[in-house]
Amino acid sequence: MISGEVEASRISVDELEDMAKNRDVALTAYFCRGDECLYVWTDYERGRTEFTATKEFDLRSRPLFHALSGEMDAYQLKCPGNDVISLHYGPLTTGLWEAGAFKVLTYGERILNVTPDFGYKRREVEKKVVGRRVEEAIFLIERLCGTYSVAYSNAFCTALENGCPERAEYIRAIALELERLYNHFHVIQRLTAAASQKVAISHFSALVEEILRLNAKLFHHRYAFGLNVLGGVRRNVDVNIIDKKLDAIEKDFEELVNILLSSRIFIDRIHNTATLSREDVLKLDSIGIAARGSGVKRDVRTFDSFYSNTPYRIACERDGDSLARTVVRIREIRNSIEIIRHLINELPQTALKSEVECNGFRYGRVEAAHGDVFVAVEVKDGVVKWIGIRPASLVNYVAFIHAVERNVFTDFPFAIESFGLSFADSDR
Amino acid sequence: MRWIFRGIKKGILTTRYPEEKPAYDEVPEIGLPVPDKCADFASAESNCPTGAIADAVDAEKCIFCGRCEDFRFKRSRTVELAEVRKALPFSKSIHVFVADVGSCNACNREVEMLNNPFYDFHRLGIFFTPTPRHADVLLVIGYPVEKTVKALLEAYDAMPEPKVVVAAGSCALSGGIFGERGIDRYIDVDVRVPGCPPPPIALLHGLLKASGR
Ligand code: SF4
Ligand code: SF4
Repeated sequence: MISGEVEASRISVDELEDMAKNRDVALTAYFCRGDECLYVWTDYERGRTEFTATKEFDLRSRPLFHALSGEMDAYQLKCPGNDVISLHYGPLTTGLWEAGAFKVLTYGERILNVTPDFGYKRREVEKKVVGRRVEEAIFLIERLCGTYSVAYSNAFCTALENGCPERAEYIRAIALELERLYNHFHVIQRLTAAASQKVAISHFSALVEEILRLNAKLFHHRYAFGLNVLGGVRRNVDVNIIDKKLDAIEKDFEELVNILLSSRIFIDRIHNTATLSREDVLKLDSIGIAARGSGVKRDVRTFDSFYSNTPYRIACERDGDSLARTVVRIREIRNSIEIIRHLINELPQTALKSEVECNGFRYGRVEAAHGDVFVAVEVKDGVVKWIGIRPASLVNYVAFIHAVERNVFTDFPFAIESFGLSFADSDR
Repeated sequence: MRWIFRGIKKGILTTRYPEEKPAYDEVPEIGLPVPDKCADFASAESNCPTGAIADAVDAEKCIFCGRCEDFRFKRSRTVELAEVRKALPFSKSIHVFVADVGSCNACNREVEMLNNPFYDFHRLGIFFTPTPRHADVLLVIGYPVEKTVKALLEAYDAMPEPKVVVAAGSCALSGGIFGERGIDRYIDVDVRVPGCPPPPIALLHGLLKASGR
């Protein structure tokens, strides 16, 4: 829930190249606006978001650039040699439940290279948002990726507001943490599914369902669509409902995690699978769970003043494999429950909504379950003039492509699920 | 083994639907909006993002956004909104091939949730199949993206007769918030399941209808 004005400093191409050499500052986004290129940078340690504008220029020294500018093919292995089988897998049968395809290069047993092939879900959300009134644009933004909808609508709304009533802020945060919970549960469910642990699957999917039902009761929508509105939230929350459910969910979860982590079969599958080193994270500008699983503290909540008043703690692991990412998720689940408890105990009594005058060029960012989402939007008299969205999945697909190289084929589902990526998210 | 003991301890979670109406826990006020006595139709109509409001609310266009609640519409608990034109001639067990043609992933998640112990759709003889060659039902979700629709039509051709097409979600039915075209521009739809996304109970209702139940 970070927001501010987009104020880009004009720099020359050489200065930009120099800037790109400093790996401590992460490349966050890249947009073309007219004949200008807008680069967005984040210093996660200092909590600073910076903008630079140059004339049209491709920053090829940062590998992430290709994904941001839509050239996924740049990550494909060139001239892999003889005996290499290349296949196109998808879009309807990937087993990921989503329309998306992969270009795969393999010797048969080991994966040489896997690159996602986008375009099967291109709904052109950004194009459709431009020209709409802000109130309506929110509905489109929510549906960019339904399972991270709260994060997106939150980022979009906070971008345009100069703060909103406190109670609304709390309710938004509760919804966001609930979204994190069900997505983390869901990732663990998928991982257990990949390991064919049939009973564990149903236990974890039951936890997902519990949160969705909680959402339905609180927000009249299982995925909390329509909750975030410009200037606040549409609905009040009933604290008692959350309180009761949360205790039960926590108890179930702790029991399940205990059993899961003592299952050798399961741990063996995710241990040392799809490893991403600390250097890789810095090189590939990875974010969210991918970064935190490899010991790089990247989480926009760390520099969000709202979260400094909550029991939020960053969760970080060192090993960078699927196991480490899963452990990060487990720790975040515990922390999210703590945060929600704190928020409902301290829920302030203020209005739910305030008037907002929409004008200007501003940005908003929110830590979703898989990584931070970034939205920059230019609004004039309540109508969207321009919008740039940088989804988190897009960034971490690059990390995934790198991490899955040289893994055996049977590790593929564990690799992709542990990053929590979504096609709808990147292929917007 | 420990999993199984836990399962026994946890007891029965599964819905009693369709023998009984869905419980409040399963379907609270997440259904189609209905106007109050003093609803402000004109404002609701001009504010509805998909033009779903005319004399009544068009379930296929509605994206369940809740905006009309500002004009005294109320959310009902009605989610069993499926309409059926043609059903399969047998009903014991059906195999469903899920085809996403451009969804936001929420529809996918709801379909996936049918598998969880709360709904346990296997007890009703409904199964997913990873290949269209074994499928009786083609379940289409999402806004039709041309590139993916091509693959959808190929999948449809690969299915044996008899077969039915179920379209679920406002995207597939009417284009929803994304546009004016639904999936029926490309393929004949036999069962229509409104929702954005349709909750699992709504999907169960639609799939049971598709199997003539
Ligand atoms: S919920 Fe939204 S889409 Fe549905 S009728 Fe109301 S305003 Fe229209
Ligand atoms: S109908 Fe709604 S939930 Fe389903 S894909 Fe479309 S926008 Fe997403």
